[in-house]
Amino acid sequence: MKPSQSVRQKLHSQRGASLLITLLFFMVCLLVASVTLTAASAGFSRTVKQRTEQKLYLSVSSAAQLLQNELETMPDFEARKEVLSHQCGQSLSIHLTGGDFQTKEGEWTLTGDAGAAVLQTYLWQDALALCKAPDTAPEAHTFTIEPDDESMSAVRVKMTAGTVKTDAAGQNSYQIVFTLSAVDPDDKSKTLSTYAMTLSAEASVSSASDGGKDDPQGRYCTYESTGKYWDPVLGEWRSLTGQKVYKLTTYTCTVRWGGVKLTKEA
Amino acid sequence: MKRLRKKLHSCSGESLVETLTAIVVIVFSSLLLLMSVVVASRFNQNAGRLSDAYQTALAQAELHTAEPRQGTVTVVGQDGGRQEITVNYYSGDGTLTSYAKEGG
Repeated sequence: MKPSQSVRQKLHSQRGASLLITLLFFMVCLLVASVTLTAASAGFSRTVKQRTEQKLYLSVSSAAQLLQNELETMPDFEARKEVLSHQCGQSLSIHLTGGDFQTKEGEWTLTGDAGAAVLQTYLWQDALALCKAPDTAPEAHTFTIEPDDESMSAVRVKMTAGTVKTDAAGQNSYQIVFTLSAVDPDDKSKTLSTYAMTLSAEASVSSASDGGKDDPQGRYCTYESTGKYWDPVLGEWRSLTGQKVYKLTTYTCTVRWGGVKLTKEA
Repeated sequence: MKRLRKKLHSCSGESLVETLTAIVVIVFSSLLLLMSVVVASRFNQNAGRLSDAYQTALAQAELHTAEPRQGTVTVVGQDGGRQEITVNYYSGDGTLTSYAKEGG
């Protein structure tokens, strides 16, 4: 038999064809079975993964709501600065109190106490810094909110305050942004970007002064008038001397927190 | 010896062996398919049960409809300052938990 004839015969032979078809059927069954099982297990593991992710979401959203609540109930911040000034040496007079100042500016000081409250301390630190230097953004603060429930994750919060801006109505305000992200339960130094949230709040700044009043401590300066008058009793030209009480002006910087808005980070 | 060689080269009964093998393979394949369908449906049933439990637990935790448990959260500052805040924990099934400030 010629080789070409043998090949043709083999091609046209029906021996073993049923076995081949059976094997094909087996392959199809195997494929369908594996696809079915893969799809089912994927659905199952998705449910488990969803639960883990939801834990992170609940941890972050609870922390965000807590912060929102704290901000809404935060007492107003108030700082004061006293400026002592006097009129001696002005308008045709010579200042006699040697080495005395013209204007003495005090430091901005808090009128209340932030106590041990971490968030309030940071908010007040920023508010004080911005009362002193409205054009310089304070340094960011970081703190962690740790729940005592084991099923929840700790949340790391980065708090950033901007500079003071003036709107069209002349109102001064600055924005505070809190970025919240869950702490990785396996590595506490890392945070997970899943379900990161941003909380922003608007802080309105108002400044006022009492217009100045006489120094309550009764401090004064001495002056001598430059103009002289003739004293007929003493028979000489004399200048007028006198005292002027210092003027104490109190400036107040008040910060109120409001406009808290929660957004989910993309 | 001659008989054995003849048997080896003979084609008789070959179609029967083929058919039997095919039947075995078809049965095995069908069983495999059936088993996979059964296992997949069990997987789906469990996933459905888990999903229902998850939805219930999530609603209880998120909407604060679960029985509240009083606890605390600690705010730890970068400088080591600590502040404890009393909160209510709402746990759906012990794994999905949220909290809210008391009276908040």
